[in-house]
Order: sequence, then C-alpha cells, then structure tokens
Amino acid sequence: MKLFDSLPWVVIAIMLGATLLLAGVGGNIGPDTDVPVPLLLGSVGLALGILGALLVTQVWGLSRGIRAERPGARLQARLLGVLLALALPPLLIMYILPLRYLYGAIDSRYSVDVSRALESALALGQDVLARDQQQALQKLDRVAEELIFAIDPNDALEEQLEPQQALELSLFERGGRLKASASADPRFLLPRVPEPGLLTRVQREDAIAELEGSGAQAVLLALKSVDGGVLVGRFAPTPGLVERVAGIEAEAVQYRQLEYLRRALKYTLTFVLSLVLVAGLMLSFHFAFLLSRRLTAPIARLAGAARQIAGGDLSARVPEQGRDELGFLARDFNRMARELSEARGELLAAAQREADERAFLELVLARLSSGVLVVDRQGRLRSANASALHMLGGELGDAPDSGHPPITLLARERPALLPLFERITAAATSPAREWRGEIALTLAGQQRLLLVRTARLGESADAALVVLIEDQSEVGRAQRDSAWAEVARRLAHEIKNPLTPIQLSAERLKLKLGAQLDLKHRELLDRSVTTIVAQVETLKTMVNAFSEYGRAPRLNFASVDLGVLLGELADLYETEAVDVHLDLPTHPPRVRGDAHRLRQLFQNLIKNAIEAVPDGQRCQIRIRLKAQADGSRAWIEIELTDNGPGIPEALRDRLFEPYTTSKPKGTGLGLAIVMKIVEEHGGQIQADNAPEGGARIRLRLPLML
Amino acid sequence: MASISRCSPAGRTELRRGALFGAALLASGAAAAEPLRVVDARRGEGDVVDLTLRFAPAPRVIEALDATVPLCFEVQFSPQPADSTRFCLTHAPLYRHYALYRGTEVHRYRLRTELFSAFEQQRLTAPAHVRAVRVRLDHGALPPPLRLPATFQQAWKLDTGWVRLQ
Repeated sequence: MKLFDSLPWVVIAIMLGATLLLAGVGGNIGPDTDVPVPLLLGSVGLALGILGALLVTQVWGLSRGIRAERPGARLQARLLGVLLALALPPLLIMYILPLRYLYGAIDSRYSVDVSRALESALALGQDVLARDQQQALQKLDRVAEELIFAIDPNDALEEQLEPQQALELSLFERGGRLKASASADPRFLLPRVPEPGLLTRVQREDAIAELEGSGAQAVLLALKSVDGGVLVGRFAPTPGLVERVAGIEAEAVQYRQLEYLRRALKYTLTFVLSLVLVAGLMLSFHFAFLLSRRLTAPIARLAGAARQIAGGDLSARVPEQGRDELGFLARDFNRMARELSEARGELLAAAQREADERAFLELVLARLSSGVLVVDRQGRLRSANASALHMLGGELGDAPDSGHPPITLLARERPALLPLFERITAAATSPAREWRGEIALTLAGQQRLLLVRTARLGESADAALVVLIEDQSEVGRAQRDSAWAEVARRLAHEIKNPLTPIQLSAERLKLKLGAQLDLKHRELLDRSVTTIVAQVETLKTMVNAFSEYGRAPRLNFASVDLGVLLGELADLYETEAVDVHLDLPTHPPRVRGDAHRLRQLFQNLIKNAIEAVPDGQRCQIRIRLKAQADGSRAWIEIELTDNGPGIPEALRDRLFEPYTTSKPKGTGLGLAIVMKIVEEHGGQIQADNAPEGGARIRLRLPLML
Repeated sequence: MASISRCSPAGRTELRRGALFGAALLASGAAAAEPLRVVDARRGEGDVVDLTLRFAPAPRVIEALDATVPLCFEVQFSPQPADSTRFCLTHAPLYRHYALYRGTEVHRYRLRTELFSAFEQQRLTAPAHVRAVRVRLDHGALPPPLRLPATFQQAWKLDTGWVRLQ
C-alpha cells in the first residue's frame, strides 16, 4: 500500500526530470545533457502510461462505487469534479502564458534588420574575398604567360615568386605529377598538393581561386589550367581580411541557424510545456481524487453506518477522528447508536420476559384440568386452553389459525354451545365483574353439566373477560362411581360371608337327610340342594364382581405395547363366529399402564361386543389405533366397533355406570370396570353408535413419550 | 473470389498481370518516397565496398542545409567492424560552396546537386566478414533544438535500413 501510494510521486519525479532534460536538450532552458532524445521520450511515455493507468484505476473504482451505491461515492465524484474545475483554469493559464512569453522571446532574438545587415556584411566579405581571389588569379595568369617561353619551368617559377608576391608556385601535370615548383618559404621545399577534387575541377572550370586554411594560416589558393598541366599558386591574402571575413561568416551562420531553428525551438518548447500541462492535469486529478476521498471518507463511513443501523445492525460505529464538525458528528452518531442499541436490548429483554411469562401461563393453562377461555373487549375469543377445547368438543372456529373469531360467529358455527356463548356475552355486557353458574349442554349426544365462572380482567366495563369452565358431569359421575364402589364393596362383604355357611348347610342337609327319605323326597331334596348351591355360586360370582369393582387395585405400571396386547387378544377370541380385525399403525405406540388391567379392559370390551351380537350372526369387531395430539398432550386413541344393534338411546348417558346393561344376563359391571380402568390410567372414554351401524367405543390413553 | 472462379484462363492471367503491375507500382512508389535508400551495395576487390545511394531529402532538410545546419550520416556495418565511417554535408555561405567531409578528407562543391551526387557514390572499406550496410542521419549531431522535431517528423527519418552486400 505504501508503494502504491508513493508510486505517483516516483512517476511524477521521473516525468518532470525527463521533461526538464528534454527542455535542456531542445530548448536551451534546462541542464545541458547528452542523454538521447528517444530515451527521454521513452521515460516520459512510461511515466505517463503508469500515471494514466493509475488514474483510470481510480476512475473505474469510483464509477464502480457509484454503480454499487457505495456510501459517499457520489459525493466524492461531485467533489472531484469541483476540484478539477478549480484546478483547470490556473493550469491552462500556466500553460498559455509561458508559451506566449517563450514564443515572444524566441521571435525577439530574430530581427529582419539584423539579418539583412549580416547578409550584406557577408556579401561584402564575399566581394572582398573575391577581389583578392581575382587578384591571385591575375597574378597566376602572368606566371602562366612567363612559363610559355621559359626553358626551365623551375627557374621561371622561381623568378616569378617575388614580382607576383607569391608564397608558392608549382606546376602539375594532368595526371597530378609535379613538374616544377618554387617556394618563398624555406619551410616548404616541397609544394603542397591541392586536393584531387580541385585539380579535376580546374580542368573543367579553367581557373579556380579559394581560401585555403583558416585564421592566420589562411592563404589564397589559385589554380589555372595551362598547356600540359595545372599551375598552382599560393598567395598571402590582404592582412586581417581573413579574420574579419571569418567573423562575419560566423555571425551570419549563427544567425541563419537561429532563423531556421526558430520553428524547431517553438516546437520543442510547446512539446515540453504540453508535457508539463499533461503532468499537471494528471497530478491535479490525482490530488483532487485523494483530497475528495479524504474529505468524503468520514461522511461515507457515517452513511454506511447509518445504512447498517437502518438494516437492523445496531453494532455499527464510526471512528471518532478529529476535532472538527465531522468528529463531533461521529461522536454524536456513536452515542445515538449506542443508546439505540441499549434501548433495543432492553426492549428485546422485556419482550423475551413477556414471551416467557406468556409461555409459562399457557403451559399452566394447558395443564389445568379446568377449561379457560379469554374473550377480549371486542367480543373476540383470544385464547382457549386444551381442557376447554376438550370439554367443548374440539377447536373453536373454522381452523386453529383462524385468528380471533368473534363469539357471535362461534355461536352460529357451534349451535350446541349457544347457551355458553350467550352467557359469556351476557357477562361481557353486564356491569357485574363476576358471574357463576351451571350450564347444561348436549355435546356429541351426551349431556354435559358445566360449572361456569366469569371474571373481568380489569376495572373498566370493556376489559377482557376470563371464563373458567369445569365439567361437573365428570365430577358427578366420579362421585357416583365412588359411591357405587363403596356399595359394591360393602355388599360383597355383607353377602359373601353368609354364602359359604348356606352352601355348606345345604350340602349337610342333603348328606344327613338323604338316606332317611324315600326316593320321591330324596329327589326333591337333591334338586333343592342343587338349586341352593347353584344360586350360591351365582351369588358368589356376582359378589366377586362387585368386590372386583369396589376394591382399590394395586397397579403395576410399565411400558405396554398395545399392538402386541391387542394381537394376543385377537388370537384368543377369534373363532368361526367371531372376526377380530386389527387396524394398527406400522409402529404401534406404547402406553404406560398396568398390562393386567389393560388386558382386562380390552377383554371386557371384546366380550361385550360378542355378547351384543345376536346368536347365529357372525360377530365382526374392528379395532383401530391412531396417535393424536391435543394441545401439549399426546394420546393414543383406540376405537372399537362391532356389528351389533348399537347402544340404545336410553342407556347412552349412563352406559358406563354399574348395573347398566341391555343384556338379560350379566352383572352390568363390565363397562363400569372398563371406565374405572381407563380412569386409573388417566384416560378418557366415550361411546356412541357408528354411522354404519353398531356400537362404537372410543377411548384415549396418554401416550408414553 | 466468386468472380475469379468464373473467369476464363486468359482472364485469370490478365488479372495476375494486373496484380503484379500494381504491386510493382506500389513498391516503386514506396521506394521513391524514401528520401535515403541504398541503390546498390557491392563488394569490390579486397575490402572495397562500392555503395550507391539515392538521396532526395525533403525541402525542410535542404532548407536546413542551406541554413548551415550540418547533416552528418553514419555508415554502419554488420557485423560491426572496429571503426565506422562518417559523412558530413555542410554549406559555407562565405565561400559559396558545399563541402562533404569524410573523416579528415574534405571535398568542396559549388552546387548542392554536385554535393548530393558525390554523397551518393561512395567507395568504402570494410572487412571481409561484413555482410550488410546501413546509412542513417545522426540525430545527435543535429543542433539541439532540432533533435526533438527530428525524432517525430518524417522528413528527418533519413535511414536506409540494413542492406545486404552483393
């Protein structure tokens, strides 16, 4: 990250350094250097590329942030635009003004008048030089004339040195070989050969005169084509002429170059300044980006945290940096978020406490054997516990989740409960805070006597009403059952004791008197004794049944597999005349109970069904097991149906009471014992007729979990 | 493609000729557009290499020469020999002549065309292992203000590229 942050600085340094060197190379406004231009241009290009890539990355990241609606991205973009708009005019001014100044400076170095003067001076120098050259050629002409008649060219040349003021005279053949020479300077005994090009040229142009050498060493070199060769002469120029003319030429050359290079100089400086402008623009963008990011970062953090809080995350906090307004804002924001978080925590804790209390209350209500209904001030049923639903014959309303149905609607749906709902409505509209009374209902064909108490939950007249229901019919039956058990126990005790002496006395009478009586009376005695013994046995059986009903059994509870138990009973009772069909689930449930008593329960039911079917008709018994859930309790329901004549209407309400039977024989205690065993196991039982005919017994036992 | 497949053999020949002519025309045009190129590079006796150039600089370059800007050319050989050859074309307004410098050797000419003609015909020496030659303008020898424009402007791209010796 540090490298990434310092990268722009390194790149800018490279770029400015290279640009400065470039200015030095081409513009004479920087350090003089021999670094090749392509290398400098490559450095600048590389730096521009890196910086450009960096800027593109920044712009791309920002645009991606805007598209993703990153907090602060749009604000940063706007701020970046403003900063760039502020930076652009000064940069353009810094570009245009120096450029105009430099253009002016370059142009001011060139003057038409100076140029014209220098050209004139140059022309003058050329003329003076030409005059000297012309004079040298004239002298050479004279030497050539002397050579025509000379016998010895060496002598002729030697003689002409002085008159012609020549420094050196020489004659070359056309092939370039030296033919004759003479020199006024003893240092040059051998003549200097002109360059080959001049020897060739003189044959074409006949005569040539040029300045040879420079400065004080400069001489006038003249060549002339003569018969059979080339005459070469070196003459001293006019004293001081060469230096002055050379000075004029130097100035003229410099000025000509200056004039020509003006355009190149402008080109170079424009290029360099443009590079500086581009670097400045990029640098401005980079700094504007950094500045805008730095300025918007706290706001972006605040916006992000606010969005988190709006989304429900109250743990969002922002760094508390700086002592400016943003720092104060961050601190205030954190305090607000903290307080909000604490308030919500308290709210959640209170809600949790309320939920726990509500759950506890519902649990208590669910475990209550009394039914509880709660009706709100609008007359809507708000709550009903499991016992209430059981007492009132199932769910209230169309569906368990049908909301809070009005009592008036429930009364229309369940007309059997109309007396109860009318009483509730009356209690709700009555100024009395409490009401207590009994209400008789007929539910599922059975008379139910309910003890109902209502109480208003609050002082105001429209406060919610709580209705407590207790099934008195169950209580009454339990009381009757208890009384019957006591009677049966006492009866058995009182009757059972004399029966054995009666039987023994009768058998003794038969034994003592039988031998003394004649045949006729002895037969009478035998029949009477036999009748007495038989009736005593019958009475004993009856007394045992009463005793069984009346005594409090000692129960041995264990896990009982109802599937196995019912299977064994089906095998025991199934004959040609009796068909026992079991409809069991794949995994029959287990109940907690006394296996012996449960076996007796189902034996009584099966025997009862068999005895109910008329003789000659095949008895068909169907036993079906089904698991049920009722509020917080789980049950196993056992439904037993037969194909007998069904339960007479007159017996339906007291079917499970002792001495209730439709059969000519029997004690009438079979179903009473069944009811007793069911109650011993905490179960429930009810009887009715199946829609397809025959009696239907439905009992529920608590499921072992 | 479809039109070619429908052509007669004679038509195809005409097309081929036309394509060849066009390619030759383009090649000659491209060659003519080059301001400096090697016409012939031939190895002579011993180490002698006869180099024939075609030098037709842009007016901007001629203008620079007349403004006394020296044009220095570097002759490079491949593989590189120990020493290289260098030519400089200059103009001396005082003496009204152009000069061709080749090392210490100087040749002066009255006319620019003579200078260019002399520059175009060069006899060089190169070791026997030398296989290719290249002549290019030395931008580093130009006056400093001219170096940057010369890098970008086509008129100053005076470079023959590598040419194999015959």
